[in-house]
Amino acid sequence: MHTSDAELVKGCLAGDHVAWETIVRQHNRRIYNLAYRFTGRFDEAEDLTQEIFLKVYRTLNSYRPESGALMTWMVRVGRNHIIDHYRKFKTERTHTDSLEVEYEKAEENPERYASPAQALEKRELSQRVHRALLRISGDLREAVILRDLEEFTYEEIAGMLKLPLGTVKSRINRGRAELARLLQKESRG
Amino acid sequence: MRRPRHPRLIMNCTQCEERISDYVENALTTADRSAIDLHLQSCGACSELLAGVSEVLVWGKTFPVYESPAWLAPRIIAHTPRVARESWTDTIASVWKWVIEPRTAMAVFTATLVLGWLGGLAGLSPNWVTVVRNPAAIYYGAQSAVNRAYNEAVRTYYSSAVVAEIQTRIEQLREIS
Repeated sequence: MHTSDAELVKGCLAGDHVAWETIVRQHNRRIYNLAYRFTGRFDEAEDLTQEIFLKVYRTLNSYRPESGALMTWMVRVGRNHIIDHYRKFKTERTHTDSLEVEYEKAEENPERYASPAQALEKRELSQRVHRALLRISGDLREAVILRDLEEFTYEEIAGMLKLPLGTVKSRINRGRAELARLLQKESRG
Repeated sequence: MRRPRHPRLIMNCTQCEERISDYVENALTTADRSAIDLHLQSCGACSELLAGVSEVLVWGKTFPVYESPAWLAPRIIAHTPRVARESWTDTIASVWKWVIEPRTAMAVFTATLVLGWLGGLAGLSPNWVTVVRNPAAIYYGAQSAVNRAYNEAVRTYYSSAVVAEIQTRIEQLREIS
């Protein structure tokens, strides 16, 4: 039976734990991927996903079904949480999970990958860019992720980051250019 | 001197880089696009930059979607508290957390020092031995200080020149009437 977002939220607010379980099971993959894209680390993405869901649960009464889907609202809450997390721990990370760690994970957890070898091959490609992404400054990285991975419009990003549209455009452009240079440098060895 | 008809056709690397995202996203005017095309034909560095930026965009679109670990959802559910909304005990707990924060404690301490110093300036100096022996002395001390201040204010009021003048005028008016 399909239950609407509004009904699920209403159930949660009334203390119905099954409704909450449904929300968690339906949306944890999306939030997990959102967190992974920002951090480039699975362990950090797992912890962030949990924190985001707890935040969602605490603030569930501020969700308005008429203003959009629950998923969209949750992504907004998650994104803000990740950005706060980023700013709070402004340590510049320069690595993602290594491929060795990934291979071990794939072997330990076969249901996570349809074919570990295939998944890792694909991942190696994305890791090159993701590694470079973690080397550019936090402000540029944040803007590039929101635009190129999360596919928000420039206006939406300006609203989220509370920045003028011109600044957002400039950050995205500079971020992409820096990434391109890092990739070129890496491919030249 | 005549101005060039298409100034943007003369584009340098900085201008090209500034517009590279708009170029790959097709957000430029025809004139700007042509200017960049022209620049790219003669600039190897900017052509490489364009290739790199295009690669970044492709990467963004083909970024893999991962399955979350099977244990993650049960862990989130197990860690979710049973109450959705904040109860009064949560409110008290959060206020208490605020009170015991070092910043708040420091603010209270500083305020106490400042008030003590101001009190000292105003001649309110508690006798600490008496205060320790009899804490109620704080109340009585404060009460007598307030009484003293009130008496002083009343005295100042009645002895002021303005009030004396007003009283004199009132007396004169009474006599006349």
